[in-house]
Amino acid sequence: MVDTSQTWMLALDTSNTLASLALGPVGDDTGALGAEIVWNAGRNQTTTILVEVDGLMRLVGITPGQLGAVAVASGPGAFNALRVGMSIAKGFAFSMQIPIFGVGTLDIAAHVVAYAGHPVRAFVEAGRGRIVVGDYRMTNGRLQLRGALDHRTPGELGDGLLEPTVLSGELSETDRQALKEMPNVILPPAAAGRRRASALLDLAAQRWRNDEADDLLALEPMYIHSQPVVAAKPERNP
Amino acid sequence: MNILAIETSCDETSASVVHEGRWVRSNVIASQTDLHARYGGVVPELASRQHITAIIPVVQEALEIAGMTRDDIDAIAVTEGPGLAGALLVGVNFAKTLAFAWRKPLVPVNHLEGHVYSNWLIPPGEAAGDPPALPALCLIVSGGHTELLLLQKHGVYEILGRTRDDAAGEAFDKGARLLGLSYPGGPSIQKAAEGARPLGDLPRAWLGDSYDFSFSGLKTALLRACEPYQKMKGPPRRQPANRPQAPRELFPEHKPPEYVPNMPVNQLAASYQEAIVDVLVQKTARAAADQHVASVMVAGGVAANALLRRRLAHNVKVPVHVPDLQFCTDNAAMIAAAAYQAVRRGAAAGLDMDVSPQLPLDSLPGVRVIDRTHAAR
Ligand SMILES: [Zn+2]
Repeated sequence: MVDTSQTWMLALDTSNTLASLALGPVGDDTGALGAEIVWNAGRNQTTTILVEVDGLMRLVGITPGQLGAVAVASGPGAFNALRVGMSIAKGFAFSMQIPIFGVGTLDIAAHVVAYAGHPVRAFVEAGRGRIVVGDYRMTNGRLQLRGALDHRTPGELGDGLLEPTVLSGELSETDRQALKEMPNVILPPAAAGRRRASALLDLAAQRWRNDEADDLLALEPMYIHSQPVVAAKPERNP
Repeated sequence: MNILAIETSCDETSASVVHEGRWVRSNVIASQTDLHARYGGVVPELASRQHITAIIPVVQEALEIAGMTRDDIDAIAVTEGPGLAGALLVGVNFAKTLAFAWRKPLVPVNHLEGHVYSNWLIPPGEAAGDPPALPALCLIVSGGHTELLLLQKHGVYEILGRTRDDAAGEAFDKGARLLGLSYPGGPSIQKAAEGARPLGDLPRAWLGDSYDFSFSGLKTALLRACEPYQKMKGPPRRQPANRPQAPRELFPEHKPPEYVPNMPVNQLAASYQEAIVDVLVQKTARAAADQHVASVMVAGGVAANALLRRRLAHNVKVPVHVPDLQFCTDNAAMIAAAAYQAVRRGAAAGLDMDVSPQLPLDSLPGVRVIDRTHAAR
């Protein structure tokens, strides 16, 4: 049973169509969970996120005044979807004068499967058919990103694995079947490889304990391009 | 009533506190003009990114200058549209969160109505003049809009005309690109044209007795007028087949055209400006007379054009209102002024408020619009 009289951290992940929110106490009960929601927001992040934040707070029985920290998935992902979460997280940090923690989206995807000691290949569908991939390895008991992020197609997600590696991210059933046959691929059940805001809450709570908040003004989403996606054209200026 | 307004529809991040819909307590604008100048126009993705980093300092400064805290604010207003989707969503989500966290009402505002009500604003430290008398004709001229609206009374509009292709500000930007002048085009063409004799007449699109506008033909005419001065280009250089191609830039910069040194840029700029202003003024003056209005208002970035202001004052028989320069280009004070009217009509938004890149003027409760443009007939 969590104590609703203490302060709370709100975690928002709007990296792509899969949206997730979580509320957990910070302080004595850090690590506990008040409530969590994961849903397919499609392109409706702007119309749904705050409605669900409100619902989650009612469910837990707290008010915005009880927020003590806010955590947000900082990408990579779909640019506009990321900006919805970032605008809301910054809105809470500014209006309630609380610390903000930006956590990499692939860190969250890797964290949900970080228990078997295996390396992890985390990936996120980043809009326009792009998939951004990062390779993680267990070092000193923590998963650390190795090398640079890159773009792959679903068919290439199992390429170049030299040892048994857990794949974590959203996959279609067809892609799952194809990847399952590849050497060194460990596929967790679909539900276990899905990003969840409680994982974001875990990672941000560690940083909260270490007093490692982000700079509120400088924090922005991580924009990973696969190619020139924006042609510079004079645009209509309203 | 103190309204804190936020505007992020295009390339200005702005926040403002306005008292009773008129008295501006603060109006902070972080302009991205320099950022976009390299590209010859607004790059939507870059504009959206800039809003994310600018929004907090801008809102914070607006509250500080106004000398207010959350307790002094009665409502939060934000531009719902029209505008760039990725840019609008930063302002809307930030404003919604503020309204939710501070338990304040949220007021959605149409950006165009904001431009109309920029004429009601009184800059800090200035005495209140009379607001524009109604019915009033409003010429909104900016990079995104060229509209002739009749404001019969608060909340009741007639759209008399609008552009059928480019907006006036867009025409200035495109003209400046053709002439090798800097972005934004309005100020740079005005500067180049200063004291220069127009070089012949460029065509005007009068479109019969319609109040609609069209500037695309003018742009083509300027292109033809510039062609004789273009430097001859050599044959394109071939890339050797085995050499890897240089990676394409993420955001390719605008390369200005190359002209021979004796090109009459200033005279061409003068002809071009003359043609745009001529059509704007003649249509506005005719509409003002036809509709028997009590006053004429001008709004939008192009309202800063000195020739337009002079000619309107000369050709229109009723008082002409032009807002303070800081309220002509996109700003949040005008959003607060329009929000004040919207609140009186009962406009309010919930946490599910969306952005609306193509928002029509009559989308908000209590607003009635009669469309008399060509497209509506
Ligand atoms: Zn505007």
